[in-house]
Amino acid sequence: MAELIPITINDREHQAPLGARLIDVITEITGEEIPRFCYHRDLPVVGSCRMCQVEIEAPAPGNVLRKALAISCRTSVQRGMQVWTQSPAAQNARRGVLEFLLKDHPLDCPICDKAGECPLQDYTYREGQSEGRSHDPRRKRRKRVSLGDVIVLDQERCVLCSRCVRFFPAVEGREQLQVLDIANRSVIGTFDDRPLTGNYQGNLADICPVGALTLRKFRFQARVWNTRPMPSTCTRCSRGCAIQVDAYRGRVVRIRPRYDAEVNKSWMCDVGRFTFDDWNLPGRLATGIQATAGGATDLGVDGGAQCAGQWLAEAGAAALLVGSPCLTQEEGQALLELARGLGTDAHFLAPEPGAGDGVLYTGDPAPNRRGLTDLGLTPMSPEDLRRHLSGAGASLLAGEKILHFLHGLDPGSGDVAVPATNAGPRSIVIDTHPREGFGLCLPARSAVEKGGTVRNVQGLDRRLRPVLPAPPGVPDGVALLARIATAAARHGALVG
Amino acid sequence: MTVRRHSLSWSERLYLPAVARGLAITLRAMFRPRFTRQYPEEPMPKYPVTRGQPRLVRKEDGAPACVSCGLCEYACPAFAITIDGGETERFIEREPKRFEIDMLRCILCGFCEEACPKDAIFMSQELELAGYTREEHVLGLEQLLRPASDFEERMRYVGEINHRWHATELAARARTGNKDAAAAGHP
Ligand code: SF4
Ligand code: SF4
Ligand code: SF4
Ligand code: FES
Repeated sequence: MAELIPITINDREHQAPLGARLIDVITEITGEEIPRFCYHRDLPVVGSCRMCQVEIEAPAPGNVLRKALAISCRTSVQRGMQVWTQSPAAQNARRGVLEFLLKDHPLDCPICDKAGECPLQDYTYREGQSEGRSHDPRRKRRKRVSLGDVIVLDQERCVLCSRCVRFFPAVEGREQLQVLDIANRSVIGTFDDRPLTGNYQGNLADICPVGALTLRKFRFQARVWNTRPMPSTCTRCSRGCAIQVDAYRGRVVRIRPRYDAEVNKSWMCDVGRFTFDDWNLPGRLATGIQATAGGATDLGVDGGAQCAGQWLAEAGAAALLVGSPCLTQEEGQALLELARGLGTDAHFLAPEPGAGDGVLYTGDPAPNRRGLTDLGLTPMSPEDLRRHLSGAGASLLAGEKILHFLHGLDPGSGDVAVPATNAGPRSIVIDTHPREGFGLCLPARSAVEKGGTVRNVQGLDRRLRPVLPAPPGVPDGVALLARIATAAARHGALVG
Repeated sequence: MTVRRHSLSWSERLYLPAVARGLAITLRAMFRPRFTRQYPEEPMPKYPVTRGQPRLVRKEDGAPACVSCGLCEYACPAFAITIDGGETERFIEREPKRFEIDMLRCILCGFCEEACPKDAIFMSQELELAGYTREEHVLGLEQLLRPASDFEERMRYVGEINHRWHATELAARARTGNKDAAAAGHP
């Protein structure tokens, strides 16, 4: 911890760590966001855009006090420093920067995906001017340049902050984008328009302070002022990145990283960012369905829980209880208690982890492997489960995506490809969609509909939050398991 | 409380003078100029200020002028507008794939017209908006589009209003040095 020294910001005394970055200190102390384009907390600082200028007075060599404009992203807190963020000189300097940036900026806001969360727009509203003074024609640049499957580039909107250029070496350790050409002809691009590669391209759309780099998948899907952002945790791998889920008209339309200093900083991988279509699938199961000789009987959720409880109680210690690796800690605990009551073990399905990419993505598709292991659930491989499944007196497979893991499907692949599972007459599955081959299907909430805790690969507990409303009547996983346990107790199992 | 009734005089009890007075009024009214209108034989007069059914502008090349920016959807106080945007191959990359105005919700306020940055939606002079089912009041893109020539008068009128507002704004800004001066004056 650096030494705290007094510093004067906007004529008020504060304490700040010596040598800290002024732009962060100001935001932290006063809550005022200094406009910035090139500065990003998790990227190397270049100080090229000049948008963050403030007026400072600090002792210069020769022990004179000198008042000057300075870029707050590259100025560190010194002894005897005074800062004015809104002095006429500072305001004027920033307004000038904005005017130059806007001189050649296309008037694209109505068709620009960034509009509504665009720093250039926001700063212009806050401290820019609404009239341009230049009569030169606007510079023409290439629009709609494809940079691969993830990103579309619009060179006209670019403000040449170079965040995207610095992103790749800083995060992935290799260069992809460059500033091409010089001076007024500078543009962002890849050599020969080669497509971008890698698992982190999506982050470009977040860090680009304008609509120059936009996501192909989100392109024109929704206006950002209509989306409802909700904080949650990514469940596509065991890293558990902090995310923000944007929902629009009851559907997930975009996922963005949320800052978490210990886990993912400002980033997330493309696997987690783009595999959300399965949460928007229609055809959700919202009741208990029992397979009968002539077809299927609708038991309702309560009837289904009763039936499940009876089957499990009758099987007693011969029952096989397996949870999905997507279960939260709370659901895992409920499964564990049910198993204890029946006098058997609770397992969780533990698929073989794949290879990570050395940055964030761990390659382990089981988001809560560590948490469920810590709780005391026994890991079970898909092969073992397949072997035990048909022989068990009664079986309960609980949790979203458990069949994906059982059949070795990509958990983000949606619902289409889940094959029928031959699981025996007294088998129960709790999943988001009806599944074939089970004696009883009960509904589950998806990872964006339930709350709970997951423990990531580092052992940190992170929250899942309900982002979308669950289909009417679908109970929370914990509540459903508790209802099954109550029913099992009524049929003679020693629950509790 | 007691209400004191005053007893009618003889002439009042006769009623005839009152009837005659009433008839005189009727008679006079028959020769006064009429201000009622024989609707629908005689239609309402239309002026540029008339705000009827909002309509979308079709450009010369046949494409909608709308770029599905969603501002009218957001401005609409009655939630009458629903827009789905999408990509197009044309120079302007974005166009509405679905554009619906629910005329059972629309209150003909004209906010959409005011919000539109593309001069793509205008209040037409159509005021006969009756129908037999709910569905026929939800107008889709194809039903809403009209050639730009239909709106020339209204466009000029709206342009004038905007111009006047802008001048007031600039004057207020020059006077006070505050860039939001005029806006602040109107809550
Ligand atoms: S980048 Fe920002 S200012 Fe530029 S067109 Fe897009 S929304 Fe408008
Ligand atoms: S494309 Fe975006 S991030 Fe890259 S330099 Fe331009 S404005 Fe900055
Ligand atoms: S405001 Fe204009 S351009 Fe935007 S969606 Fe509405 S009609 Fe289209
Ligand atoms: S943010 Fe400081 S110079 Fe760009």
